Amino acid sequence: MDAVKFIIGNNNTYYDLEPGKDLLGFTEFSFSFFWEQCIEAGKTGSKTGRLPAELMQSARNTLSQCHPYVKACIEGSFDSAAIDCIIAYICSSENIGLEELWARCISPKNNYEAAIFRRISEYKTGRSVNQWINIVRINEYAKKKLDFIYNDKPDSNISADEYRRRKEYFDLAFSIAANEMGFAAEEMPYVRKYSPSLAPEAAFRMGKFSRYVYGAVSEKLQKIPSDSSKQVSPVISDQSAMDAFSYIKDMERPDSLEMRRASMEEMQCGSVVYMATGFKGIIDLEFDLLEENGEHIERCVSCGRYFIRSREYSSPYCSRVNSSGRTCLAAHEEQQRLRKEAAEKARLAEEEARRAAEEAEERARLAPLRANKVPVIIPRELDLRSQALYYNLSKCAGREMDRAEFEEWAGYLESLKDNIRNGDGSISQLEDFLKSAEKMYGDILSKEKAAAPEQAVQSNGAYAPKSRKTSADRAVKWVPKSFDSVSEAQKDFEAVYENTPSISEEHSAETAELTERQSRSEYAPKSIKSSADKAVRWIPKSFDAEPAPRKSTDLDSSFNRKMSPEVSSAPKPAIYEPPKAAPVQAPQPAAEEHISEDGRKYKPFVPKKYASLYEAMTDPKYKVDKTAPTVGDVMGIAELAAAKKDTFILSSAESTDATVSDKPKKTDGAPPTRVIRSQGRTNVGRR
Amino acid sequence: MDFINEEQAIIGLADTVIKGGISLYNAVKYIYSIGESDFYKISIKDAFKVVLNNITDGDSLRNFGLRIDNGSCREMQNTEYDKVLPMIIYSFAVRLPTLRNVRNGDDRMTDDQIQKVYSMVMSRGAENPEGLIREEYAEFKYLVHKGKPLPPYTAEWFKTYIYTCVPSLADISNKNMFLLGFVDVLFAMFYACLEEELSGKVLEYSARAYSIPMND
Repeated sequence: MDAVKFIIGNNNTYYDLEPGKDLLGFTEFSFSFFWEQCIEAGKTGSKTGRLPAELMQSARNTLSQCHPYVKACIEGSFDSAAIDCIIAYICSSENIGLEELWARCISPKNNYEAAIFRRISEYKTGRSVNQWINIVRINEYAKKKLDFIYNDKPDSNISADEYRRRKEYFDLAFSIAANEMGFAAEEMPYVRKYSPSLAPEAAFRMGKFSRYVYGAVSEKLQKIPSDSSKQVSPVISDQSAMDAFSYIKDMERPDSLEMRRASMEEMQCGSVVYMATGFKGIIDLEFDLLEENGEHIERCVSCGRYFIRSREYSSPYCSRVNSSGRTCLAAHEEQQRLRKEAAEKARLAEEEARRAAEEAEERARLAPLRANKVPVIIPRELDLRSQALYYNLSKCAGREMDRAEFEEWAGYLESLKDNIRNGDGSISQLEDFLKSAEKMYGDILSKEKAAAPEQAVQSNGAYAPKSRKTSADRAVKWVPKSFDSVSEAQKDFEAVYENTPSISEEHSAETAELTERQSRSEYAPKSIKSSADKAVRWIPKSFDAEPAPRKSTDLDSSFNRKMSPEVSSAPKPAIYEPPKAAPVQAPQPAAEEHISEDGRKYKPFVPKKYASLYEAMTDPKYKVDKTAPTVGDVMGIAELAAAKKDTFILSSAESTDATVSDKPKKTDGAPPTRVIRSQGRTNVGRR
Repeated sequence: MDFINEEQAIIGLADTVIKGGISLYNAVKYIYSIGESDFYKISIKDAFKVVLNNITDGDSLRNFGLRIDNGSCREMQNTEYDKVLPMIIYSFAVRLPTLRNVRNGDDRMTDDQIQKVYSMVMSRGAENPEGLIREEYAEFKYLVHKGKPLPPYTAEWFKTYIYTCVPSLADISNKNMFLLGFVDVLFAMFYACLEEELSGKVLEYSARAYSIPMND
């Protein structure tokens, strides 16, 4: 809660009061240091006849820390609290009354006795009380009221109404007691709430503003008679007030800017000022303001001390620093974190134990079966198929297939083989897996094939980079026409190329959108997958005639180099041959020698130009290796290898059936879900 | 009487008389100021105790928070009342022959020594302007020599004076009635204490060792 301002009667200063916080500080304040300082000063005074000024000042400073009200009054009503403490100490230690001590000092022999006599005379004449005893009693009052209203079990969730009822009960009990003793309510300590300008001594507290206002109305105030001072009783207070008002009723409102400048300092004191007639009044005010602001005091769950609980601070742990050097709240949070971690550890340990128990149970269940387990040797045909697939897919890795996907696939293949060798997997699972992998590889090859024409060298001999426009449908449109000359064909091709919509405008647009979204780091997996699938599915439907000539890829050539000649001698699809025409040799630019920066001679690369696409395709430099296997070739490897049965050791059907894997996740025969799912992503990634 | 230093003893006794006069003069003012606003706050008994225990301290009642300024004691702030102080001192001075009754063994003050004290007090401003104080030094000297009973010290002259010469105090008001009431007691008690104080001073200044008789 924010601090409020209060004033006291004998000075013009505004003091801050933090309701609740100052109350708790006062109830927990230790007066022992002040007491010890006073006793020391008293002993010194009785010896030397003079109270040590420094020690007395130090004691006063110590006492002023207990509450803002005491601090405000330390130069006023609490000025003599230290000598009050000495008097209380003398009376208690010598077991004498105040009267006796006063009579003893009635003819003071030194300053020490004179001070005691003067102070007790003030008690006797009702001009003061023993403020030390007063503070101690107010402290007791505050503690009692605090306990009466707020002493509950920690975090017991008492309603605000209940707190209010308790406070009213306590205050009413006090009022009844005071009334029975004959004290009028107005004689008891109370607090008044003022607007700063109407507070007592406002004309002096708001000095600068007052001077400005006085200057403005001084002419009218000259008419006030000099002997107008008189006692104002409550009965005639209104009349007196209107008498005062009559002198300013004609005043006009001054310029706003000027008024604001004059009142700038004074307006900082806030809109409400409290004035207490006693310490008890301020203590009661703190309780009232706590209730008014919806706050209350509770005992901390950890340390048991009181603290303010509000809407902003709802934890049942206080924010005081305790003996551990941390606040109760911080200690509690740390404890909670450790408890949570311990619970998490226990849960994980329990889970681990449960899993271990399940595995042990599973092992025990499979033990009789494993006892009869026979290691299986993978048939050579399957081994070769898997090797070929591994090789082919490794070539696709990083292009049509992500390298991570490939590694995942390879790992799965390896573990599947290990399982079969250990007797935990079956040959049929491997066959299923290879079948699905071959299908996947076929899909990849189809996509690459679809992209092949565009990857070929263009008719003008320039290198054609990979582009989305090199799709199969453009090749289809180009194929059926026949021309008399190459130039005619080239013109027609260019016309078709310009007039024909792009390979798939929808796809291109989609790709552009995806590119843009990816650049904005937006995730759009669905659209990616759908467009890619659409492109793949579209290809076989559009071809009525022969497929476009397939260009030999790096994959094929490398495959051919590694595979045996008998495997690569499989039949090839027919290649489109355009009408014969005299090849037009484009003039080759003379290779000039250039000198690099480091002084070496080199020949710059000059792209070769071709008269036609066919010429380019039949260029021996880019000659298609006819031994390269097609998808069908790869598929045929298995059959070919199967013919050589003498090299294979087939496992018996019985042993295969008897093999049960205890890792069903890796041996269900189907390729990993991620590999299948990633096909779409691979296609889309081809930009 | 043999004094260690007779001159100093005479000066000291004269000072005590004068300070006592000032103290009574101030005490009347202080107690009168109680009637302004502290009538129910300050016990007059306590005030008497303080005054009578501090015969030569003119401001001992300040510890009660009392002030003798124009605010609370304005009726006494005039030249007519100012004349009360030399009269009080005079009233004490004429009774100085009673010091002859103070004995240190067989030793006592001589008439000459007492006369010197009286002369010194009178020389410092004690006077009886209107002749309202009827007692005289010679009369008291005679009574002491003869061993006859002395008239008690009263405030009759004081009351007569303020009735006749100080109209602000002669007015019938709560404060003035309070004044006329307490001065009777205060004057008598104060003089008794002053006599005791002077006796103590005489013995203090005497050359021979003395012992103060213990009162039961």
